[in-house]
Amino acid sequence: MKRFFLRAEALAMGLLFIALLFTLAGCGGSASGDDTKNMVYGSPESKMSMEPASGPLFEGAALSIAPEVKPVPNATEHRVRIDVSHSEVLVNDTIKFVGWVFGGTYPGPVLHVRQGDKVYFKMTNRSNETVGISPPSPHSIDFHAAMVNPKDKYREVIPGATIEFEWTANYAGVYMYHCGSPAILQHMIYGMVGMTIVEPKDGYPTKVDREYALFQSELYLARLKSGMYVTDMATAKKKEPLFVCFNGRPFRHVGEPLRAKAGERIRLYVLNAGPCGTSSFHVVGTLFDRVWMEGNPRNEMRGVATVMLPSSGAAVVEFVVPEKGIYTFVDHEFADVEAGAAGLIDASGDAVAAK
Amino acid sequence: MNRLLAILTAGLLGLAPAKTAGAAPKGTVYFFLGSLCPCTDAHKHSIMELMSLAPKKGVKLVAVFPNKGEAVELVEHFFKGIAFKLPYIIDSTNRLVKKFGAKKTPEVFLVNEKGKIVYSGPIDDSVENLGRVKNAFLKNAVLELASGRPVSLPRAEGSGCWIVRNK
Repeated sequence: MKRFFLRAEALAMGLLFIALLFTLAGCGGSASGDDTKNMVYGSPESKMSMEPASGPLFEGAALSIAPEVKPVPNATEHRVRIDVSHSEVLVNDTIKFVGWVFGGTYPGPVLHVRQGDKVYFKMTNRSNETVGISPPSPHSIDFHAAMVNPKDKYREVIPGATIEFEWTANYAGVYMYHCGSPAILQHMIYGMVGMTIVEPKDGYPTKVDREYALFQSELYLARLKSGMYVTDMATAKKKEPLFVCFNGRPFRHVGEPLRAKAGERIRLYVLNAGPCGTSSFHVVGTLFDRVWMEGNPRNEMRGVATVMLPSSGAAVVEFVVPEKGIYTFVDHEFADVEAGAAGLIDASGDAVAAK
Repeated sequence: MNRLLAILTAGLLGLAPAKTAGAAPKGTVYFFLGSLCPCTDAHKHSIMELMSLAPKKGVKLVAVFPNKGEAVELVEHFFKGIAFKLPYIIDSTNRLVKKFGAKKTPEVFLVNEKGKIVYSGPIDDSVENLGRVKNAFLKNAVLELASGRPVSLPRAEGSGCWIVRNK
């Protein structure tokens, strides 16, 4: 009897050991150095010049304006220009403020490339062209998707100057870019924020019918006695936004719903730019059957109702539109909904044919 | 109107440093600032330290807002955001910009009791706003002036926003 128990114990230990080996092998496979094999760390030194800029404030086939996500151009190298300007930002029909923006838009253009691609980036600080709006000031850019020396690539660009540098998109994911000049908080609440999408080398593992970029950000504004709205560092430091927006304006996609059809699979690239708050992203009436945290397919979750995004954090979420209807997406921190963090997906039209 | 308000504000705050009652100041620091310029934040800790230190050393601090379009409500809003306040002048005629030759904000001028500029340039070398000040240019100059020594570094270069003058 005792021998039987000893054998059973030995067998159990053996099975446990084998299971452990499988687990370690599995973990080791995904966490090993494999995914860093073809990475490019660093890049040649950036170039700074006083080369003047003219024409459009952004240029490049890899750029689009959210919620649109243009397909990645059929190339492994992308030449992209995103200039800085000072201009009025419209919050709604009655409120506007003097903003500082990338590519003339708030948020800045969406940069869409593929993992392993090289980005040749150029940016002119054109704040000297609009002295009547706001005093020209130094700016910079910080790509979270890049792995480069920040002292060199993200250095200050004085008004009228142009910086050029290159970087390689090592990791698949959804990443923020923003101005990194002090006070960074001030530059970000003025509007100097944008999104980069790095598609996995072989694409995401699913096929979708539609995809959209959703860029969540906070606006900290104060109304002066004259009625003018200005950015407000005091409330920003207290993390009390006046507005929380998807794609640059509070409740923007209530008036301009995202379109879908019942039965379709939808992919959303969701980035919470902050700069101070978190987002609890949720779509009412469905569940995410795929969530890739930071947009990397290795970080997969399933059956998720709400995705928690830190400031500058992101996820790719996918879901099936279950039936005809209008679906509301929100930051489920409801103080943020009150401030504008809600939008609609209109799937009230005819459903797609069953697949 | 703005100018009138600024003068009124300055008067209420006891400005016009050279004419203030009591002991004559050993010097005055003129901080050229912009209410829409983001660069002042990087130096806020140095300014706050000077707000404690300078009066004890007999040195007055005054902010000057030289940009076109500056208004009392913008300046008040700026100080609320940066969480400290200095007596200030809105230099709507750009008299002080011309007098000192200020080019950017923030830029400071330390003037001795004889009216001579003994230091001009940035507040410190903290351009990254990470609390790493290696050279406290203005503080060092204030301490040297207050102790009767010549200012060892009369000029330094820094970055900032351009001043947009009134035409």
